[in-house]
Amino acid sequence: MQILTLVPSPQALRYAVFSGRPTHPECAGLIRDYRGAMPCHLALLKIQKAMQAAAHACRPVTQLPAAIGIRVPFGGTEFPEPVVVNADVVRRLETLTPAAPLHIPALLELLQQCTAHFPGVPQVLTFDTAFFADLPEREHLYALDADLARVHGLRRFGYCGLHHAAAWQRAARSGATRVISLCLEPQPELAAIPGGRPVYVTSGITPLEGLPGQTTCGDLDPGLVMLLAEELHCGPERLNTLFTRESGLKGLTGSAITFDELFAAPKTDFMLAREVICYRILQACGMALAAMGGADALVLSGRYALAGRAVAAWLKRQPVFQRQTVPVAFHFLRTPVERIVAEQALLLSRAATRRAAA
Amino acid sequence: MNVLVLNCGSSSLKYRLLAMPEARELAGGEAQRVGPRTAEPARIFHNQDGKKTVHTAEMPDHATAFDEVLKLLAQTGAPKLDALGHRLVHGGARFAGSAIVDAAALRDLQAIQKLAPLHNPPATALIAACRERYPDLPQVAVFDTAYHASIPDYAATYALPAKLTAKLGIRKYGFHGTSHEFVVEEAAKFLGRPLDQFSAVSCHLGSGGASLCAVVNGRSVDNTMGFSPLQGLVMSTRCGDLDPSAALRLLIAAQGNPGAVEKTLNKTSGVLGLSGVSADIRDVLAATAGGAAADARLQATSQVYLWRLRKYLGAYLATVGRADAIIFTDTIGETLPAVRAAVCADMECFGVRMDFERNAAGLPLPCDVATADSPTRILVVATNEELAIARRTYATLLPDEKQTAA
Repeated sequence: MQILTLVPSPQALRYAVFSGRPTHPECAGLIRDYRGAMPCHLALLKIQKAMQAAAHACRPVTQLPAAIGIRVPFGGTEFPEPVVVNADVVRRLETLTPAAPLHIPALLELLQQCTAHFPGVPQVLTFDTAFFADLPEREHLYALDADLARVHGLRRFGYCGLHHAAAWQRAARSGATRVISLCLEPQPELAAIPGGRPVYVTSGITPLEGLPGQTTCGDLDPGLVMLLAEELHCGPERLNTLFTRESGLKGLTGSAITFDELFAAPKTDFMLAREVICYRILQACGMALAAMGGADALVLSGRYALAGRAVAAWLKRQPVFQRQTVPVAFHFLRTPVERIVAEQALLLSRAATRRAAA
Repeated sequence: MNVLVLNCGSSSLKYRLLAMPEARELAGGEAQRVGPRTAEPARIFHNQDGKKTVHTAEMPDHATAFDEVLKLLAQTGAPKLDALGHRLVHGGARFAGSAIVDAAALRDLQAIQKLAPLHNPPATALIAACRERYPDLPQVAVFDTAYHASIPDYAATYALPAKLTAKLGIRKYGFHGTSHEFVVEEAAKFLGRPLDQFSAVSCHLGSGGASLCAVVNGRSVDNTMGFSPLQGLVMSTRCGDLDPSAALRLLIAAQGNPGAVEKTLNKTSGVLGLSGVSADIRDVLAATAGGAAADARLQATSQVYLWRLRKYLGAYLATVGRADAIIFTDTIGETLPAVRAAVCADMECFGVRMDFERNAAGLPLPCDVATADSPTRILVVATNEELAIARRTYATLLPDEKQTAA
């Protein structure tokens, strides 16, 4: 029994195939220039071939996967949990297009191509925002005019929900109930999760708010947005590029570096950027501690494990962590997002199959 | 030395005449409705020798209001002035401390006006007018940003392209510095701690603006306000923190007009925007006190206000590491025990334990409302920005006597 997982991002499509219990993928890869030089249908053809090649190596007969799990970065309040795609789901996704004008059309195309290449295979969508769908009102509301916020759909979400959910489970297995979860991805995110339900998260209506990322600015004085519009004589689109592509580590250092490269660099390089990142994470930890009245565990997840170890070592030395009478346990979660997607896809497709049989 | 402290609002001029260094109050008051004519006449509410009087006068600008105040002081027989102390909101990168206003300083003040377009221009115009009319009267500019000049780069840097921030002078400046510095000094004195070994989180919670300041060894190391006074906590009509992409969405909705969005975020957001009925958090808290069956929107307003405050208190306690004290000041911080209780409850992980009875007892200020065994003290201290400005003015004009003034 095979599960195909797809993790699309604006310029790339990551895929992995898991067999049986999803531990290690039997094949995996990254398709660059996705939806550019490599249109969606060709990308899926390539995946199909890769699956066939991998299957021939260990199995005599090629078969369709049992389910396809797709990671979706934004599901708004419309999708508080993973779903199996059907006509109704597609219709509901279409209503989300204004809120995520880049992601949703790309996703709809991907779903169509999946149907064409893998007919009859259930498609399971796992939403990164789902974990935060019932974020308390005090956390998700901006201090804006209530009508204005409603009209423009301005409320806060979290965006690394799949990682945070897995992080919570990891810490809960060790008996923790108040968990700080730091996901170190290109756009890092920190959440406070007491009893499995998040009450604080650094991201906002988009993942731009909160911690700075590799190319994203993180928190800004909102007044600065207006100042830049005036000083640079530019419109929202140019500013959006500035905030999302040219800022963060890239803006601070002038180099396109990853979080791992930032922390692997010699001490004298990128010092300010490292200090900025550590300091902002420390303040987010302070917020998380205040939100839960303390913490039992801090889980670091995401693809940047080297950065995670460096940040954890630095945090442990800070007085706020040193003063805890019961020390905060640090855990490192190495589960790749594909595996989390595959687990959910397996679970949901089995449930769907059972319902169909009954 | 008799120092007249002047504090320009957009349509008001507050003044206090103080004999320094003893800080004896000689007179004070406020000119209201300064500027274009309004439905009611412009008036000066004057306070001297325990007597309150009201004077009507035409005051089309702050310079005229200042003339009227001087006239009034002469008529009422107030002692003569020796110096003026001006409150300025923004000192930019140029002013890291108080400054005697000479021709060069005035030029620099005029050059940085756009950093605080609502607050700096009237005060700068007033300074220029005073120099013209009373060239022999020494003037000192005291900046809300000056105390925060010690914020380290890693806390003051926005993660934007470094070339751009250098070119436009973009960094966290921080505000309310005059008040934070004053209450931090008072708190250290109250606890008998040397200022340079005193660390705290100072909470200036005004009915209008509000900010938290992280203080290590007597110096500011962070402030919740940023490049402008818009960032940070939920304020009466200001939104505080907001996703930059939310600001961009509003900019698109306003057809790319930044002025319109700036107005929305500064004037119709915050407590007013959330509640829809009042810009004063006291009204909202009164309506929701004791779990009263208030309107859901009011409940949400008080929750969002207190939650953001609590989160930042945690962030700043983490920044400070081992705080000697949390300090509450200004209207909300001094008079609303419920706000202090909401944000100090269940904060033992930071070494903070509140004595809730003492907190609610309405003790005379300054007072300590932490339990006897709390490692971090919780102080309520009355701020006095005019006195702080008079102190700075005195110390700036007579630097050698600064020690005795304190």
